[in-house]
Amino acid sequence: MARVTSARTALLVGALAAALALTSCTSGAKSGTAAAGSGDQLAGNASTEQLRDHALKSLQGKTVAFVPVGMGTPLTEEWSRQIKRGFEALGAKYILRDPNWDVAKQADAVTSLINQKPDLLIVHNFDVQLLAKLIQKAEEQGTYVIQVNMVSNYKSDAFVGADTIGLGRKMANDIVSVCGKGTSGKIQIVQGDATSGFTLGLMQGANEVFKQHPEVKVVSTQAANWDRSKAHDITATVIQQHPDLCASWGFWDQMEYGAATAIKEAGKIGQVKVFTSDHSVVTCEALRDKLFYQSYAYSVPTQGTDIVAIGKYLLQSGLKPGTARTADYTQLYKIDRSNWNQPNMCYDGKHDGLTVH
Amino acid sequence: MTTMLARLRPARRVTWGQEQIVLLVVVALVIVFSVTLGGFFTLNNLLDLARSVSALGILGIAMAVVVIARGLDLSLIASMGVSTALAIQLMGSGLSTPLALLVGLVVVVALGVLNGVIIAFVEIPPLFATLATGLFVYGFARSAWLNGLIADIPRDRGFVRYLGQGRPLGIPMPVLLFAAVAVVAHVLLSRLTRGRFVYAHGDNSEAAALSGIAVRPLTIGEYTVCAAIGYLAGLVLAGSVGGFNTQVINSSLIYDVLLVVVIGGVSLVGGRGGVLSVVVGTALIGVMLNGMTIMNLNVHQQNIIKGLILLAALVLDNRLHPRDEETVRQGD
Repeated sequence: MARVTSARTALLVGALAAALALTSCTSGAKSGTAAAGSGDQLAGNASTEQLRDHALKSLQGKTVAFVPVGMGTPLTEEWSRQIKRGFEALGAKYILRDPNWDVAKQADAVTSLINQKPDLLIVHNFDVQLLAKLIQKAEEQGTYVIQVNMVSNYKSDAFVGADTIGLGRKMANDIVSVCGKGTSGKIQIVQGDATSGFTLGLMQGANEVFKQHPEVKVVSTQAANWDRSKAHDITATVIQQHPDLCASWGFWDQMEYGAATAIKEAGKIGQVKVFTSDHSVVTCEALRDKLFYQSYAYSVPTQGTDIVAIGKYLLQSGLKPGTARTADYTQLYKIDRSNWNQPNMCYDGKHDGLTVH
Repeated sequence: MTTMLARLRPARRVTWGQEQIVLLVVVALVIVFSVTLGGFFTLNNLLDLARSVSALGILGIAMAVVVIARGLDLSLIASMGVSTALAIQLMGSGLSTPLALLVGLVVVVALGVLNGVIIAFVEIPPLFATLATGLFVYGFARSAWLNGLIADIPRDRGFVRYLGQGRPLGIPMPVLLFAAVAVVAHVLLSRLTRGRFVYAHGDNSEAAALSGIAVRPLTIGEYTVCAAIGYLAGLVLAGSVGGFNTQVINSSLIYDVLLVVVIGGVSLVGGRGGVLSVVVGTALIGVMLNGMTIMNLNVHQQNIIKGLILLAALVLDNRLHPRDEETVRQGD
């Protein structure tokens, strides 16, 4: 932490020095103007110092706002930590609005932020529809918008997150390989919010694969709305109904932990393989405790740093918000009972380089 | 209880109580599901059904205590969530289990007393008072006490897990706790003088006060008991999934609790219904949820059915307990 703080101080000092240099001697370089989206572009023959001035000035004093679905989970805490650290080091102001898992409050938070005209807005969409109009409005008024992990029906300047369709295919193929011939082939799906971009993407990928494999039967598809208790109760019923279940697939580790508990209570944790995604500390612990069978990590700390990198690019690009659409799909890697204790496999939203023991 | 009240009140046209009607509906549903849904009428599924709604049932009994006294506690889920999450967080920071649980209990009792004082002495209607305290308590706790949305029970603390996951003699612990709370609350409400006072308070607060019942201290007692019972439900919820997600405070759980209370016949006008009403209401919700999960209905279809049942219960409540000068309340 001390290392990070000193690096941040050094960067701040550098940024301040650059700002001073710019005010004392205007070198004729075209530098970013105050309004977001109107940052001018730099000519190819600009000097190294001009590039530096342009980069630092494009970020100095800018406002970056983040609206997650809700804080307090390792996932959103980690994003916020990385975004705050990355932008504040460059002299930008970071605003966090926590709607605390309330749909209406998320829309309110984004609406009030639009009125404050931040330079960059980062949103974690509750569902595909809620913020679609608001994101468009933000772009029209000159705010760059980055969406994280759960995409909206309206695609903004950038999306940073898991390739949900690809993740759905990967996971479905893994399930087919363990629940194919010779097993009951019965699987349960525990969705997040039914209209979330994440749920829709995973279902699309999964359906493509399961259509090719009639030996796998999806016996239950229920939405547990990212809630551990709901996942627990649904799964407790499903496991009674289908005692020969082969796999349970839940769309988030925090939620699927409840399903795994229900399967363990029914004495079936050896037989039913629990699949999930994300890699918060719960995943590594549940793999250690033989509750989970496998998870796909989507590099959450990297998503945080990628958001910062893309934000820096947008603010310096001179592009008008909403002119280009970019998706940055972060790497998916499999965590299972063989590698959960490797360094950096999981994260807790508080520390760097976590190792679970 | 209903028979006792029937003796005190003028004879009613209706001889069938809401409780009996709902019980009949439950029995009918069980028969229909048993015939149509394979795997419904098995011991394991019925035990699981009971287990899945036990925490809801315990919360229902907590709510019933204040609703019978013509009150309402919208802060029930918030006080439950805050005290449970705090106790678990303290366990995570190394405090011994009994001490951590005691701190949670002290907090929840304090919140109950706070509600009671605001309602009894400041004379704010319970609807608004508990709405405000619920918001305040959760907001305060999240910013000052709790360090996350989810409090995970540490691996070495077996007791709370046992409350949610234990199966003495093959019966899930939550079911046993629900049964124990139901029996104790039933005895308290229907056999003890103080319990009878709760009905008197709900039936006609002024008459109760005139007849010498100390209504204000009684109110504080009612809200405190309500909050304390809620704490037990919180521990059961946390134990069954190895952690407590405070997101539940913002969820529709409070409406589900009101649903089981109202469906079973604990009327919002006060003085009517009892613990059995809550048990019957909980059974209805349990059977419905279980059946809908087995049928694999989606969220929207489930909401349609839940909404229709709530409407039916309210219409029934209105028919059986028509509004009159005696029972009319602010906002009617």
